[in-house]
Amino acid sequence: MNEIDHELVGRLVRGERRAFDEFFNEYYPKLYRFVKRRLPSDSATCEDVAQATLCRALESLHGYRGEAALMTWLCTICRRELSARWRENQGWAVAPALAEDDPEIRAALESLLASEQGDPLLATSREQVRESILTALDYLPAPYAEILECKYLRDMSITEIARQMGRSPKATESLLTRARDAFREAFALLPGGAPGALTP
Amino acid sequence: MTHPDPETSIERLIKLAGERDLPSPEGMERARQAAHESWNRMLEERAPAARRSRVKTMLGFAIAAGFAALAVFTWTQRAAPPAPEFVARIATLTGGASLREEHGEIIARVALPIRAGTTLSTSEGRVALTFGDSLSLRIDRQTRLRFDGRHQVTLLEGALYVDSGGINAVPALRIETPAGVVRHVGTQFQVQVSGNTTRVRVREGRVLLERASGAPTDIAAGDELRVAGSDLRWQHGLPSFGADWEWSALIAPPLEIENRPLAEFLAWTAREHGWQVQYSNESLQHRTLDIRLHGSLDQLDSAAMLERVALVTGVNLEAREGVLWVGGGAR
Repeated sequence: MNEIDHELVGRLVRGERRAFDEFFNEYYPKLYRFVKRRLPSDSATCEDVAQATLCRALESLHGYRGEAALMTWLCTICRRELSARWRENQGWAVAPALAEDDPEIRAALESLLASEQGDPLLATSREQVRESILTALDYLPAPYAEILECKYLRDMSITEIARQMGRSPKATESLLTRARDAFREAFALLPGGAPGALTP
Repeated sequence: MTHPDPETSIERLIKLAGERDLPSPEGMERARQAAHESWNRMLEERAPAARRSRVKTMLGFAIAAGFAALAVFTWTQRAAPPAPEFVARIATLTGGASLREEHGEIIARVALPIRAGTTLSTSEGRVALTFGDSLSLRIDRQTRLRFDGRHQVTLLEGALYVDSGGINAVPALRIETPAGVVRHVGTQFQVQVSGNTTRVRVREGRVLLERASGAPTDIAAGDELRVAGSDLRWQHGLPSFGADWEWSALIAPPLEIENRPLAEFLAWTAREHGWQVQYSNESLQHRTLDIRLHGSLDQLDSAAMLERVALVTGVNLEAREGVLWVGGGAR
């Protein structure tokens, strides 16, 4: 049982406005990127598919039982939505095969419980590595991805991040450590994410 | 050789990836509004169930506390707003379709809930809808269908196909046609309206046609009845497969095969096409319960599905003359 996700869904079902904002702000951008990696189409279409997924999920929230991560459940709905769009637009190019669509890799990513025993597919290009990094970030809990981007992409200090996230500097340090560990685990499962990619 | 520490590696990787893509602010706002509407709809739909639960609690309390609680119960009932009646939902769609509602016309899209009173029109498109838990309704090209209520539709023109999901799986759907009302008894069938001619063809189970006068007409599997005014024409012994049925399989909602047994896929595909499943031997039949499928068959037609499943399971599959041969024996 994924208690954090289950609790968020419980608040949504009770009609808590703040829960809606949390849910939307976290998952709409993630679903948009999930679609964008799979759909050879313009951004507006990707936005439309992500929107339809979110609407469908919200209308059937009672179907979520907390057995899988909320992101897992949303991705399942999104895949159905994508399949329907593929059928509607048969002129589209073939959908790219993504490592995260492999059931085993997906399960490991979504639970983030996998050890490094997997046999990651070989990365064939820099772009593939980049895709894997972005995928790993999207599968992390939102605060983990946020702190990694603040620290390494925007070069913010721990004090600045702590202020932005409303945490103490010590709690922020601790969050950063957990985020790094989770990122390493998730990334190692993806193409180009073999342990060697974390060293030159 | 020196290696940078893991933190440096992570920093390098995240810098390489750069900022993650974000939807446009307009798209984000549009999605927020649409999602908010869906959320409200879900809350409204849940309200009756929550009210029922409240009613039970309040009645229990009323026995103990008497009239005061009963008054609260009555007030609660009066205060609750009526929930909008959604009668169906679009499951799959090819080629486009439109919905005429009370407030105007909208373009059909997957996952769209349909209210009572809406008329769905297809021209070159086909639509599959879900009713309740298990009833699947497929709408052919050049069709107009009005949704009258949770269990009633009116076929104004064109053809529809119904798969009830099994005997008495759901309350029978009533289909109004020029020839009368068509009701099913756990079945797969199609109804076609063209001008003043109504055609009912049954693949599995039984269908009743209730005309304006006289006893209901019973139409059994393999039967086809054409009604034009007072003229009734029967055909018997028709196959459950073939070109007349294939359009409904083309629009069938896909089966999620992940971790499902091969036997389930075989039953599903056979049901969609009206085939009989024939195993080469009993041991193979038992084995299909243990073989699990992984991945997805989305975007594949039936022939490609069979080919793919045969390839990954090593079980020979071939459809011929209405029989799905499993493990050989087609020739």
